[in-house]
Amino acid sequence: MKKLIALLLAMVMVLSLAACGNDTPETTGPKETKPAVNNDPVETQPVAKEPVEVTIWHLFGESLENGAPHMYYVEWAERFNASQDEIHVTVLGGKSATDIQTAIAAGETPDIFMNYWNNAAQWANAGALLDLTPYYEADTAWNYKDIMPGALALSQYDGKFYSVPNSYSTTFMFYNADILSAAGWDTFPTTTDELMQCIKDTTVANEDGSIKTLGLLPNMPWLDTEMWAAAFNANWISEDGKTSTATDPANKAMFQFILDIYKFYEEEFGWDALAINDFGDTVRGNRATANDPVLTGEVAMRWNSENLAATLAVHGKDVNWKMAWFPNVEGGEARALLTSNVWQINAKSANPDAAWKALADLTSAENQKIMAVGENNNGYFYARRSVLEYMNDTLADELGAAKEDPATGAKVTENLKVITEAMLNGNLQAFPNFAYVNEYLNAISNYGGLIFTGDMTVDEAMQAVVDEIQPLLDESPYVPYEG
Amino acid sequence: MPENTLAPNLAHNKKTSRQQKRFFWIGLAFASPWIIGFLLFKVYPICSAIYFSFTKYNMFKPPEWIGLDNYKELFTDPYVKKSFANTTYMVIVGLPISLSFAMVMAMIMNLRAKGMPLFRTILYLPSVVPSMASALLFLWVMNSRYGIVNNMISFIGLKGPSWLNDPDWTKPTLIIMGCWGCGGTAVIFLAALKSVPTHLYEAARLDGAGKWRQFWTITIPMISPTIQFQFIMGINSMFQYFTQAFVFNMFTGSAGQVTGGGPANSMLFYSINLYREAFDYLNMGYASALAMVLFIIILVVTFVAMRVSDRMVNYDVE
Repeated sequence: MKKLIALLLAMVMVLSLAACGNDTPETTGPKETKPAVNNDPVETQPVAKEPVEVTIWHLFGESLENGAPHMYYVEWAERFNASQDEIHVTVLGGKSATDIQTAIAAGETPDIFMNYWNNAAQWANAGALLDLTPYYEADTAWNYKDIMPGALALSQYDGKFYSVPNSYSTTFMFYNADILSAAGWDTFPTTTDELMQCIKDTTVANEDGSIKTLGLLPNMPWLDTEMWAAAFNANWISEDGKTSTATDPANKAMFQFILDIYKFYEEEFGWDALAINDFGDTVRGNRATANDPVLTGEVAMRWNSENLAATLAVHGKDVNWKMAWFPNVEGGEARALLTSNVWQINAKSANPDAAWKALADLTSAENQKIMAVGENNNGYFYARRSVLEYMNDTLADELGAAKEDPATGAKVTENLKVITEAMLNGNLQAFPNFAYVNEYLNAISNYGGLIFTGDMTVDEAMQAVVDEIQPLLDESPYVPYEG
Repeated sequence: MPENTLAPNLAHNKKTSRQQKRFFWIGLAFASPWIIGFLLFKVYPICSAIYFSFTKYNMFKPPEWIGLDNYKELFTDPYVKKSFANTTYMVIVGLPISLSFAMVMAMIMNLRAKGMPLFRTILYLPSVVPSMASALLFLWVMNSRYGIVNNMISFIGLKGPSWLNDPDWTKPTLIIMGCWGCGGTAVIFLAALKSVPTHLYEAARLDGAGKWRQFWTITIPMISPTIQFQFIMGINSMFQYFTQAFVFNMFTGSAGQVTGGGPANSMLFYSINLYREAFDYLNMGYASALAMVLFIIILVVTFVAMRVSDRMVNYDVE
């Protein structure tokens, strides 16, 4: 009996607590200010309206160091809050996708949050995101047509816009120009065939047979296979969005190319895949540091997103490093993989209109031009064409005139124009934005890995990918962006 | 007069009963923070997970009842099979090794030798290092090119394995790392060893028993309740193996946008697969079903282990 009473009492306590904490944002959250009505009753002293609170969460750490993204967001928030008195924004950093998931599920309301591109369609499908299409269409001043097509494709799901692209990022080759030059390569390869030859020419062993310089580390994880697929002009989903095309010849050719790099190392130098991956573990730990393998000469070349340029500008002052467009398959188009972090509005936001106003200002061309200076004056790349053009036409020269960043002494990269020109002229395509992107990425990574360990042939692995993904595509086909 | 004798007793009982009741409520009030915490953070999530396991639930939309579909899918999911096999490996191979290692450490710590307090401190130190930090440290310790382990192996003219990239060696690497951090377990074993009455050893020595015989016939039976406790707790933690493998998967060659499973999925453990389903794929309903099955597995294995080990445990220690 006592146990029963105790249990009942405790449950009452819990329920009381739960009731206290069960206020939904809809009932307690700040409401949007209504426009003034002309036929208001007797005019009294104007009452100061409380501004609508809009909370913004982003993925970056809350560093306020020179050029850190959080610094730009905080400065923007100060500007925005000072520019009007209807909306007050608060910016919080270091919020991972898991943080956001659990917060939304718990009824918390970050009104606006930043997310990884691969969650965009999935979260839209899950009902977490506000449909932004009406805002896209109505807000002509914001001008969504200024956004690069690849990024727009990444922002839509099922024919509607659920995200606003933030960054505009792709993969470049960073190389040690002295090593390539010594091997007879004064210009960087432009095709995959040339790339293979360049890898062969630049790979050097020590006297004891160990690796001195690896032409290219084929396993430098960061969407490797998707990036190679873009280089080989391969697609993962058919044009009608209904069929997995992992077994297409271009996809197989891409995997075979990577396998051929491994085979070359093994046949020519006796370095098997394990030895290469062990070497990779070592050099990966030094990425984007003073001991970056390109700077130390442990690899002749490696791929990375464009932001490595900022780091190498600081650490590689005494090394002849350069960057180039990622080579494409012979006769193919200049295509590269686009990734972009995106802004989204919480479907449960109590103030969607105010959230949009804040987001529109944050992602306006004017604001992005300010933030485009980036880390160490090396540029931060946004998905708007006008901003990329501004960086290419004006900012690069302005920063170039400054010669060096006063804070770090780093020379302003000469590659800013290389990056912006490539982004403006190349065909940057994102991975198809359908509801099961993460499952697809995992299947490619999983079975692709089994090719390199020798557990599967290319044909078997690609068929396994199709077998795993096709049922998901049948359930939720990809709706390509019509532009 | 019986009435007269009973009446005061009844009154006394009533008085006692009121006092007991008062104590009961006071006790309950003191215990209520724990009770509330237990109900809120244990009972409620468990009950929710049971319900979600029968639904299609992505955390954002209301759950949709689908009956046993999640459980049916679970039995045909190749990743569940793979992750369960990896986890079982850790329970069957990893747990006995780490317990044995902790026992050996405890016996060394139990020796009367100079500098033993310092040795005990050094031995215990790794267990206070957070799992995340120790995993990051071991990425370098076990690095096949520059890691200290392979360097030491090379001193005897052998080539160390590819600890982190060879699917055959990834789980042994995790087991070694577990042994490195077994100080907590070793200290509990040490406490048990200290409680074994010395007269038993003296009697055994008089009967001519050697060290090995003493160990098997005195030490092991006398600390068997502790071994059983550690074994049961070990089963629990090994079935839920997560952090170290999660970190390894993040930083080794299999890293990517989605939570990985290491080379050839050799470090895809049950909890990692569960996490991936819940947070990478938003299949919270399916992940809840996985959690329920894991709960049942742990319950059954623990029950069987207790029943079997009960026959071997000596409870006459006191």
